[in-house]
Amino acid sequence: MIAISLSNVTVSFGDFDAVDDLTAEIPAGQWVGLIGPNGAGKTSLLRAVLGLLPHSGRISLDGTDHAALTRRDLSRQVALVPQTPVCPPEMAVADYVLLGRTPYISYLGTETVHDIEVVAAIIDRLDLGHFVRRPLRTLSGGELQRVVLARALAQQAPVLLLDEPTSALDVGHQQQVLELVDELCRHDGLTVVAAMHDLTLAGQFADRLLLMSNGRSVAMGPPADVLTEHTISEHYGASVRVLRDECGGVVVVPTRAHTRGSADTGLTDDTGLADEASADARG
Amino acid sequence: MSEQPTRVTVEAIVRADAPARPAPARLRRRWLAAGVASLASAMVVAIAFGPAGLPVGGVISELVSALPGIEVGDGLSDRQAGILWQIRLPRIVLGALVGGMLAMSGAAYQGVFRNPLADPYLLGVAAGAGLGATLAIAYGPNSTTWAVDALPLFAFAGAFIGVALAWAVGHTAGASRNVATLILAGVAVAAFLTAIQTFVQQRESDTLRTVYGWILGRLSTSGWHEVLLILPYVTISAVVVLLHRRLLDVLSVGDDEAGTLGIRTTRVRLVVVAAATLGTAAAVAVSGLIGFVGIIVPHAVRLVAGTSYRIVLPLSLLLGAAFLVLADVAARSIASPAELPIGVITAFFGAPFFAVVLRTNRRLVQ
Repeated sequence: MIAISLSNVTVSFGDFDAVDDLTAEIPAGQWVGLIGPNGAGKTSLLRAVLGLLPHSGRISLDGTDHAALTRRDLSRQVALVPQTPVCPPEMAVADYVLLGRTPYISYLGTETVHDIEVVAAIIDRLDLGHFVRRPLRTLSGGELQRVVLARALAQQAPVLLLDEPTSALDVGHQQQVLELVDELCRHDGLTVVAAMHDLTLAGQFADRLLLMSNGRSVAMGPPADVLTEHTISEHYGASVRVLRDECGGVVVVPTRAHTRGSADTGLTDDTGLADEASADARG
Repeated sequence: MSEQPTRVTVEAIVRADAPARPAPARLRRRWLAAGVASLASAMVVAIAFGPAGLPVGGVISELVSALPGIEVGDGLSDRQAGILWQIRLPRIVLGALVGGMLAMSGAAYQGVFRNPLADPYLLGVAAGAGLGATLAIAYGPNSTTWAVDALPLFAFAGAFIGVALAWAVGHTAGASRNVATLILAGVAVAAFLTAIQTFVQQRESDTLRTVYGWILGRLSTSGWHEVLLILPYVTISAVVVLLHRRLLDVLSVGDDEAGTLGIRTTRVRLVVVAAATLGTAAAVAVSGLIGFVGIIVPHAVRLVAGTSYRIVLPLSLLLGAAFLVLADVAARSIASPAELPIGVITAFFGAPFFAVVLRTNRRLVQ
């Protein structure tokens, strides 16, 4: 099953192609991490899938061509957790999450009992019950991110797009949010496409990574295949060491080659990581 | 021994498990009642005040008798009844219609433009209506030769043409992607129309006083003529805008996110702006440019009752009506028998009132 199929997708701003002839398939029920340096076209690609930017080429969702879907149909297929959500400061959490039911409410209609039940279940699931009445301005960054996720889930769309969902969070809250998304992906069969800057986190959570550079897809596959020192150096212009953790995951560690005379990652031998990494690099 | 703690624990668990019901924001009955009560009391005060004193008991029995099937006898002399029905009431009803319309349109504009400083005159309504009114005063047909008064028609048409121009210019410049473009187009159109208006006004300087009087705003009526003239437009406008109250809440998360929620934002904006403009143009046509109501009333409502458009729109309609009815009482009684321009009154009393609301709610504003 293919959730999102992209063929020869191009998104242009005047002469500049933000997404350039990109072809890829996102399998249903998987978590695909969208990685690439700033300006690679990750956000433009997500916006094209959401129908917010015009594109050429073909995007189809669950086998249906993008062009055949109305705005409302599209919002029942794909939900977005934006990078910097616009949060009306005085709006209560419950009202904000209820906005996610908009795709199911007629143009001039209001929420039905069913809409409220769906939202109540999501609020319960994400453990937001104790602050449904609080205005958004009083929430912390981590709470707010869960509330925004709840609104996206209220759309009950099979595909969830996340644009840098954790860039404003500390390491603990990053993990909490991503674990939550991971559970939704595994347990509810959601297809997740997440644009992420933290390559280690992207490698830890995604089933596959799609590496974009200059609007093109340059690599797609399991994290261990995509995240190599060579590709990261080539496309990010970054000096990194790629290590393996004990579970077979990939750890991307930035290095400072030109200071203190050493490219040492600081990982000592007794972790066993550095050895494995050197072995990996050699092999 | 062990039973009591167990029972408490089970209760606690049951309570914690009960799903929190997320109730959507809505206009609470007590706020609606307060709004209706304010409008009713403002109207009673307005009926009581005036150069010719009317006995309150007589007014009440006169009004009750007007209801079909009820007869409680004449409380007023024929002359007093004439003052009530042909002079005082039409003016009060007109004030309520204009005030409610300006306040609700202001709230609607603030919603579609996500800008707290937006008022119903934002997109060239004022400049267009001003030009229309000036043309009517300077070159329009003499009111004795025309069956209808040309001024409201010209002002109405000018207001609508002003907004249509701003919309057209804005959307050829990409306003569907950025709302600020539309606002800037409105600024350009308003400046252009005001330039023409000023030119005409200078050329025909004998009209200066009339034009200036119109710009400052006034409620003057000849019987029920003006009320009937604007009633259909105000009704359509109010119904359409109120029906969009939930969509204005959706728009508050911005065009992009509202788009991902399935809303065609440009269409919603067009419909709401068109409806609000229809009502504003009608109001401006009979009352001139009464400033301030469209900004102050919706913000006072937000500070006191809540920021959802399900609350702000209906309450602005009611309280805007009450506010302008009271402002008109002040306008015709302070320098009686002369009348002050009502636009001066709305700002003079409205600004300190708003400052007080702002201060008493300073914890709400951050």
